[in-house]
Amino acid sequence: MKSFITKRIKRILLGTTGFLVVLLIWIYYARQINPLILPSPVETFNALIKIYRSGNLYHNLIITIQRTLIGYGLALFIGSILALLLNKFNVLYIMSRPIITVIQTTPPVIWLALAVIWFGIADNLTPIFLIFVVTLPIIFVNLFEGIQDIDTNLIEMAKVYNADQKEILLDIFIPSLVPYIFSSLSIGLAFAWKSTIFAEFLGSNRGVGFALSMANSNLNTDILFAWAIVLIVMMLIVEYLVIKPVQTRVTRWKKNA
Amino acid sequence: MHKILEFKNIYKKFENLKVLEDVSLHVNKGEIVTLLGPSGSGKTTLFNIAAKIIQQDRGQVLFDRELRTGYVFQESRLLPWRTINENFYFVQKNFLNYDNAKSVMDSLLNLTNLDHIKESYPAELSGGMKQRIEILKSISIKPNFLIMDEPLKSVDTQTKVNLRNLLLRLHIERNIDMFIITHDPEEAVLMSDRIYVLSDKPGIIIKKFKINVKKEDRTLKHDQIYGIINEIVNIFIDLVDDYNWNSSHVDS
Repeated sequence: MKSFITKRIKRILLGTTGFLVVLLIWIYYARQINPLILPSPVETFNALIKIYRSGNLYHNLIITIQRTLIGYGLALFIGSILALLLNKFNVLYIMSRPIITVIQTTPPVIWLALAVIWFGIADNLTPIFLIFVVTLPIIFVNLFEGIQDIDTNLIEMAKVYNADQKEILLDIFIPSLVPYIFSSLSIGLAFAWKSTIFAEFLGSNRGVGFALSMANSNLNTDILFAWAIVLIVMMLIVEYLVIKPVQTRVTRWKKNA
Repeated sequence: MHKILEFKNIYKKFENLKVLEDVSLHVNKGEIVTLLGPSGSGKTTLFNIAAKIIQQDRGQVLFDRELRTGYVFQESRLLPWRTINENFYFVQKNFLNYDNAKSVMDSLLNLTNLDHIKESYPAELSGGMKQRIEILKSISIKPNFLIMDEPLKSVDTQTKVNLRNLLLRLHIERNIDMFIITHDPEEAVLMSDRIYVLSDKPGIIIKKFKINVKKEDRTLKHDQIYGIINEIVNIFIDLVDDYNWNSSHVDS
């Protein structure tokens, strides 16, 4: 126990040191370079306060989060249905597998260019489409694999003890999919978040990505940096304060395997 | 005699491989009956047919309507995401109410000195321990009949003796009848009233034994018990000899 704690403290100390080194390098160069090119941490912090006070932070963040959730939610819904259907009907699987691979390997920028042509830049459709198309294959592939890995021996066992379809679904099907659901959540959400920003940067007139692109065109590099920090912090919060703790809780039976 | 389980002329093929051929056997009320055969003789196939996991190609399986059957699978089948407690309740809930289920589980775990693993997950237990739980789980629904596929295969000698005694006690004190599938002549002869010996590929019943020694008196030192075990072992050796002779004959 004691060595575990010292190990942990060591890790935290080393991680902080790495972070501080980068911060020092940043401060050092910021002093020598024009703030239009590299703003200092203090200037970045001030810019952060500025976008917070102006209401821009909240306004754009909400729009971006909404789009991410809608696009990702859609992908999760359609991806799950596809995984179930394609698992049940092998012909459908053989038919669709190449299409899914094509979707997966097409660079996001192509989808974005197409989305701008199809949906324009005025509304939510372009970012939502991009998130959907980028995360759908990730969700599908993970869940499909999860369904294939379900232990049919357990279903046989449940049936000889008179378990009905509902019990099999709730006690076997869903628990065995949970690790796969979480791995697709974790990977997919990071992709979704990046895609939203990317889509908003090039093809939208609202949202964090759009705010980034405005700061970029106006050479407000301090605001660009401030937004970058907001985005990183958001992603870290979702990963380490939401997904990871829930994942650890629902897969604790695996810990001792 | 009242038959509680009967297989009538069962045939089963997988692709072109004949697994079971004209297998007929039955279990009477009050009996422990064993199907004994070498590995690959189709024993598990018969178990799966009895459990309705697979369908026979021909023949009939007849069950007494009054039976409440517990099944013991060859490898333990515990839900990895549920504690041992919850694994018991998962199979019990369609037979017993919550309080009854809990008291049956508690008494079984207590009887076998396994109280301490109630809250454990299966991944925390050894293979032998899991197999013990698998057997206890089948008993936890308060069955009057058990169908078991190699129930004592993956446990150590000491546990094997304990579990064998537990099963015999349940049979004598609580009138639980049993159909056991095994490859182990010793296990078969020490526990059963009757034994069916199955040959391999395809599985055909080649010999039947009836054992008249009282179950309480059976030990390996008992002359009749020792004699039957030897006879069965010799049947298996003959099967191997036939096989070797046939294959060398084909080669030359």
